[in-house]
Amino acid sequence: MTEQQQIPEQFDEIRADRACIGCGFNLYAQPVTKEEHYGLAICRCPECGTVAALQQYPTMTHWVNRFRALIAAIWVVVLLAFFVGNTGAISGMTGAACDEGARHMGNLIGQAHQNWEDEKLIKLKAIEAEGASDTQADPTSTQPAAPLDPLAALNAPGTTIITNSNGVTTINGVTMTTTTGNSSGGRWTSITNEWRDAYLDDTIALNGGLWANVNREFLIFLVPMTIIGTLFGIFWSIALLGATRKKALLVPLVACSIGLVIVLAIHAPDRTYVYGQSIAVSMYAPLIAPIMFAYQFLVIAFGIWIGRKVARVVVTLALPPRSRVPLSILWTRDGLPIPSAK
Amino acid sequence: MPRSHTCPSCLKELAKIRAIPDPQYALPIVVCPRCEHTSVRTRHPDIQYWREFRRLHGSLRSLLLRLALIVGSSLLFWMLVMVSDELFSPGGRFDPVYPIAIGDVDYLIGGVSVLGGSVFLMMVVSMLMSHRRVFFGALVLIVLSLFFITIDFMTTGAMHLIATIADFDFGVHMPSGSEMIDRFQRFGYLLSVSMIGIIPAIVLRNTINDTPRRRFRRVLRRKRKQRGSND
Repeated sequence: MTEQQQIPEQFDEIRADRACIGCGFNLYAQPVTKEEHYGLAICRCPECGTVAALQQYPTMTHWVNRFRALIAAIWVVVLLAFFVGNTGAISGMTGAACDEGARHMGNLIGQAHQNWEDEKLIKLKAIEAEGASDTQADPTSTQPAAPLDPLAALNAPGTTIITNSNGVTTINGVTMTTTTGNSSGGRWTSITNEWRDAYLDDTIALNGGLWANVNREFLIFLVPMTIIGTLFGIFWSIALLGATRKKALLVPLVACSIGLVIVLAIHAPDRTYVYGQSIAVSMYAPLIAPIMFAYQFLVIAFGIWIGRKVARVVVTLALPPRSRVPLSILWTRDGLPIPSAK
Repeated sequence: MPRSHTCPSCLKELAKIRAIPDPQYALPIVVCPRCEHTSVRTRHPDIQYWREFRRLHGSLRSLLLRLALIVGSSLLFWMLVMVSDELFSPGGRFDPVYPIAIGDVDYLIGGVSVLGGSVFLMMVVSMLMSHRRVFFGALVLIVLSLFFITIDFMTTGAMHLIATIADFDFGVHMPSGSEMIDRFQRFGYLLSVSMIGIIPAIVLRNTINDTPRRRFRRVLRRKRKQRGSND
């Protein structure tokens, strides 16, 4: 083998960007040679020695695929964020509707409890006053005791009344009432478990039951629910182009189911609830929340149904024909022809 | 810098040579200056991906920008209609000549601002909609402004309807019929004045469309279409 045969013939050099498939080194200015065995055009990387066949697409490094994966991941994160936002929004509105619907009952419970507390206080004071008068009265007297005056009983000597910063009042060490700022109609009155066990069911029954005392103003929430739900539906219809509209309905279904569980879990009957309003909400949430979530599901489904049509109309109106081409998937996805220039 | 493209025959680097579209097949053809071998410059599949991504990004950006400008202009138009209540009808009566009649400088400045603003907004929307018919921009502005003018009426009306059906009192203020008529009157007045804005929009559109770059694109499109019809 001669010296002439060992050195491959150089035809030209690379005068553009071409990354080495082995190490990514830019092969700019490297000589192009003809490979001996097959006669292929090759270029040898000066860094790692890897041979690059030049009659192929130039390698673009792994970063292209990494960018693709990154964009896909960002899109998934955005969709998840919207899903969380959607669930939070519908749950929040439903929670507010439950709170509004329970307003009357909360007031009733608070007022009933307040009446019971007042009666209890008066009785206690009356007993104390009776005891005090007994110690001062003539034990040999045969006259019956005079009727007890509640006001006099409250002002009897030897009574210690303490009201702390939380509004909890104790009389001679006995907790009496915890009324704090009852200007809202009594629903923020603290309810004792003693009253709750003994009188709560009777109070509701005496006032005509739950449905008779629902505050119907909660229905006002249907208006913002309609607007926001439709907008979310339109978003899902456009964002989930890979799915049919029937499959896209799974998203609001799951969101409403999760929201329902969250609202019911938050307002589940609990002995730790102390306010009349929170007790009332815990009773109304199982009634109002399913209705509200069912309505929101229907509204979002309506948004999904009209979403792609709305998007097509907006794109057609706002963009000139040439700029519509990259968004043609809005038409092709539903088997429609892309609108012409006119 | 362009990507490498070597001649399959003599291995010369052809990256710097411009590809000329073939008249028969419209393929980007490169002729090697050394061996005169003809090769087709093919695009890298990944480049195609990025090109599509860039086009999609451009379209979405253009769409969002146009929508923001159109909706923003409509909102501003709605605001002009609402503030013109103070300007034109101090006694609750719609009187377009009021600022001129009283001769107050502040009112005159306000009046000119409102009317000039309405003309400018009409011009903006008409230009943004210039790819369609001339009065389409005006139609879009009318529809969106009417939507904003009546949105409080519609929402509170829906709330009052629910309150009536469910039989409870609802104390949210709902615009009265006379208030709405007053709004529509002012809207009609401003709209009729703003139509002047269509004229500069048409002039500007023609000027923009006549730039050398756009003219070249138009010619190219026409030639391609002709070539397609000949094939």
